[in-house]
Amino acid sequence: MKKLAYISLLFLIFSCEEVVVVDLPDPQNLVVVEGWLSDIPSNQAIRLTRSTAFSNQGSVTPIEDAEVIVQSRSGDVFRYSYTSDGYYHSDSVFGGTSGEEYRLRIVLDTLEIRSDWDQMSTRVPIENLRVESFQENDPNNSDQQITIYYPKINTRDPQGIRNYYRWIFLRNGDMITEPEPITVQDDRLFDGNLIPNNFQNFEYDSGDEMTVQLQAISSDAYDYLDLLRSQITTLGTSSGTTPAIVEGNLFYLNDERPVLGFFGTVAVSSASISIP
Amino acid sequence: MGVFVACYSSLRKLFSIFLLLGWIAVAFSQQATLESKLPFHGKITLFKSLDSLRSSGIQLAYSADKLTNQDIQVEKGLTIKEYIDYLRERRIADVQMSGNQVILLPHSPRTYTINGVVKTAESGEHIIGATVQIQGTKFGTTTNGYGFYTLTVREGDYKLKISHIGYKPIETEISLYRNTYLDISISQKITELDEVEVLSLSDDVNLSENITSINRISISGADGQIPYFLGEVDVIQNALLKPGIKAVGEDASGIHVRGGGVDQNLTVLDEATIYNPNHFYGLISVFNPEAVNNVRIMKGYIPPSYGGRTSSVIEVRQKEGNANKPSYSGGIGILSARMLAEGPLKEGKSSYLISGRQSLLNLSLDDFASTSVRRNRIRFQDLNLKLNFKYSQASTYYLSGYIGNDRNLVGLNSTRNWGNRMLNFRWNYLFTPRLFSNISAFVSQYNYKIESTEEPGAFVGRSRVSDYSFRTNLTYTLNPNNELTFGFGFVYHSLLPGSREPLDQNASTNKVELESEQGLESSLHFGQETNIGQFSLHYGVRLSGLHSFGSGTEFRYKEGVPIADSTIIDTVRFEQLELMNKEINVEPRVSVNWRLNNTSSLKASFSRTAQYIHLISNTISPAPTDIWKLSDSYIPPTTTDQYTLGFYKNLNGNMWELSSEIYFKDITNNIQYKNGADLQFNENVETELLFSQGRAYGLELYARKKTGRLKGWISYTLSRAESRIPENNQERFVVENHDKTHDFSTSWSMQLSKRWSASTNFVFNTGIPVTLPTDKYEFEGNLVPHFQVRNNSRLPEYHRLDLSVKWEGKEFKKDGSRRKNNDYWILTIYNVYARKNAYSYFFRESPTDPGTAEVVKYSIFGTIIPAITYNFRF
Repeated sequence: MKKLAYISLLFLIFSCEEVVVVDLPDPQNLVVVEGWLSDIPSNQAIRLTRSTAFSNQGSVTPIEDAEVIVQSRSGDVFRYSYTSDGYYHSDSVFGGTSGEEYRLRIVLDTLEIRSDWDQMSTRVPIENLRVESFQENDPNNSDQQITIYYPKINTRDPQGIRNYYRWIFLRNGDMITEPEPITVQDDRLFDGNLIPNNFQNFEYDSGDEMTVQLQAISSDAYDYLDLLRSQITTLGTSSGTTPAIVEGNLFYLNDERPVLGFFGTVAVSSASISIP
Repeated sequence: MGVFVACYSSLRKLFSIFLLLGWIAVAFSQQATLESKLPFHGKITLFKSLDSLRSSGIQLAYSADKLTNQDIQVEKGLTIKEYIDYLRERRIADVQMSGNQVILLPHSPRTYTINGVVKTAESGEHIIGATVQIQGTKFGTTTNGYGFYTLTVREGDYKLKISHIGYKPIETEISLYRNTYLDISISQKITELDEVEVLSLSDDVNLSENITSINRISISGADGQIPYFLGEVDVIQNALLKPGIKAVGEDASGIHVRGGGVDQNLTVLDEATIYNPNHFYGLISVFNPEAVNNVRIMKGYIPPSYGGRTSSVIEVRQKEGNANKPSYSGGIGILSARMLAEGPLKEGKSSYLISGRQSLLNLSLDDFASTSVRRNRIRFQDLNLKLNFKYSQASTYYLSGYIGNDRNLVGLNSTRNWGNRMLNFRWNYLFTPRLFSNISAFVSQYNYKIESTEEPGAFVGRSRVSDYSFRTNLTYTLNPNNELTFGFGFVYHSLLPGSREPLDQNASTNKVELESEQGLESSLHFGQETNIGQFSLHYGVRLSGLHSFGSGTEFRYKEGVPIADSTIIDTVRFEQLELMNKEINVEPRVSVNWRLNNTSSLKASFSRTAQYIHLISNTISPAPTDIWKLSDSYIPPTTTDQYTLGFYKNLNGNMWELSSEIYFKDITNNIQYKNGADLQFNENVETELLFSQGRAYGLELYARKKTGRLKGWISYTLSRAESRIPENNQERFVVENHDKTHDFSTSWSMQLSKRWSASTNFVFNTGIPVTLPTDKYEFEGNLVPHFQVRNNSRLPEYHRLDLSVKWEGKEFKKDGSRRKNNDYWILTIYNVYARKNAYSYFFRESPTDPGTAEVVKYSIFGTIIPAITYNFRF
């Protein structure tokens, strides 16, 4: 058995990774928007930051002095105020309404940035959430086996409508971004069916609080997240996509510079379970 | 009657009437017939013998001032007829019989054709590209793809010289006074160490052939020893060492010829199209070296009989099978094992070949950046088959078959299978010694299947492309200086872009099936090869077209805006066999060779090619999942115009072959992809495509040493491939992903002693373009690199040295008798100095310093890789 294992490791031995220093082009310092408007009433959050040189140590720079509002197609206006670390929160507690369209408007250094209108979807319920498990060798002690828990979730896709979903997994309240930073789903191949989802890549330990969110999103948001996912996970592989700008739905009214990020709406269903 | 004529004739005519009357008188008085015995024997002059015949009563007409009087030695006991035949055979006179009258005319020389096949003495296999030269003249030819040659020359006694690289040249005397069929066998050269090889002028095929830019690989010869990864012998990897042929990286499952795309090479195995020539992510090609013997790559001028792809023709031929005796060969290495059996079915008439190859290990080439915990594992196998049956001198049948398969286990629950299969029936028929025809009918298929048992959506997905082809090609030799080629062909393409079915009743997915596509690609071609003094010309035209048929659906989009899902305004439904779209192209081709002198020539060519079927793939290198698509109303055919100019020089009695070529290529409607294009299971893929104008140009230098203990070559390419997308108002050309400015490779093999030989190759090239990020930003805690401009930098230079040593088993036993089997070992060292060549860069958040971004260089082979293979033959 051992011998076989060595043989299949052959390629791991051949290949190698090395951190290198490369001369990079000058930074653009572009505006980045992270903004989701949920249908759950709350002080909604939007984050504005500026991209920095790729080679910079440390993280991105927050934008603190922007005017931020969210508009609805029917005429409601929600003002946001700066809190900290680039985050702006809505002054009032509110939630989006299914079917209504929303957009983001930012004024920064006398220039206006807008998003496209994004329509709030309808919530799709989580039918049930269960915990499943499998055994794996303990990476720290190969003689021992450990039990890995993962969510198994049934959902029923509404028939006859195009649905786009995003899954969020929380472990004790923290979002899991490894190994899959973004998990999206599209009902093109599942329309109207009961979907028994297995998420074996999202690992939990005994005693963890498992929370999952099923967010119904727009087709634009799905396209954005899917492109973003391919750009952060498959770059540099032979089966990877060509590097490209991850285009969102934001733009300057009177400027050619791109605006990164996305502003979209999410209709959230969630479920929690404690792992014994 | 004679008297009646005389009434109004002139005096001269009157004279002839007397003559006629005289003959009539003779006829009546004739006693001897042609069957009678000769009235003389021994030494006699021609005129005397004729007089004697005439007086014995034979009606004989001849003109004494036109025939040459000469002494003739006549045997005793011949009949008069035998004597006259003797005069004809010796070409003393041409003889015409008219009733009872025998007319002797002075002999006038005529032209006759000699034809046949050139084969190896060892196995009886036909040799492709052997030179047949008439000594002392400039007439010569090379055997065609079936080993067949034909030469038409004025009668006479000639010396025919037959030569081919790796074979002992032979000379044979022929008396060509009638059409002659002659099969010629030549034996393989066994290189002795101190042997001085002498090459004759006829080994200058590179100078005399009137086509630019051809590379040949002979896997059974020295090329078979070129060291490669894990001791494998690989046709495609060999090709990469030739000028103008490149791949993106080590595992790149596709080759770019002179800046063309990976789907723009017509890869054929025994004339049948192979859609995906890769096993194992492109590290190994599907061509089992045991079964393949000859590869020809045409990258400049493409003869009119070839078409359907715009960049190059990669022609791989399987061995024919030993027609003399059964023989077996095989080999085993770390990666794969192969076995071949061949032999006569009916000695000298028909032979078979069957060969198999199997990967030995559950190898895994991990998607290093893949986040999946589970590994991918892959296996592959091939089966090759060939039968040939020589029905008569004029008729030979061939049957070739191939089945290949890759099986890839992804994680625990998903398996992918893909592979090519092909069956080709060919019939070579000689209508006359000068009219050679080849008729072929083949089926070629590429299949892809994925089975996933993982929920949600356990499913079986399939896609397939099938070609059903019928083709004919005729070659007519008009005279030694003119050869015509013409024919037609049809390929019926049937494409299933994708279907997806639930694995079982419990699966939650729906059945999705994309509409199949049907198209008939047809072609008509004509070409001529002609010599005029120092110039020879190869020119012609190919008329090609694609008719696509229903049933099918075509989307109509709003005019004046980019096509997208959201701009669909109508769908048009086509019934079965209803014509959906039609594309026609005229492809002129011309190549001129100016033979400057015995050792040099200058060639120029122009080639236009059109392509109607495209690989839709937006990953860096193509994946087995990629689909093929026919041209339609929204996807125009890709066309390429290529201009080549080359200078060729041979040195040292053809020991060295030098060439330098420059080319320029203009490519229209090259397929590109929109940012984030969704290509899988997309029923209107056209909305994700863009069309670019491409151009590629370069200089290729090549020097090859053909003989001696040390053989090999040096190849250098300076080139650029770039494109722009007019739809996006892009004015500037941007370099293509596969562009390499400098590309140098050299490969040498040397016989060290009777049993030891060594090979080495070294490659150096500019790194491929890479897109470097300008900025980084955060999106929900994920670090995202931002790319402003595509291909704004390059990977570091790539270089690598490989070595191999071959050790042959003993030829003789201890008691001095020859061993029945021979075998050899090859030790290969790939990447000798363990350079970590960059395959790509990727960009990630530092695992040790969160928030800090890193550029990571990924090397597929970052180490020295030794391997050993054992090969045998009995």
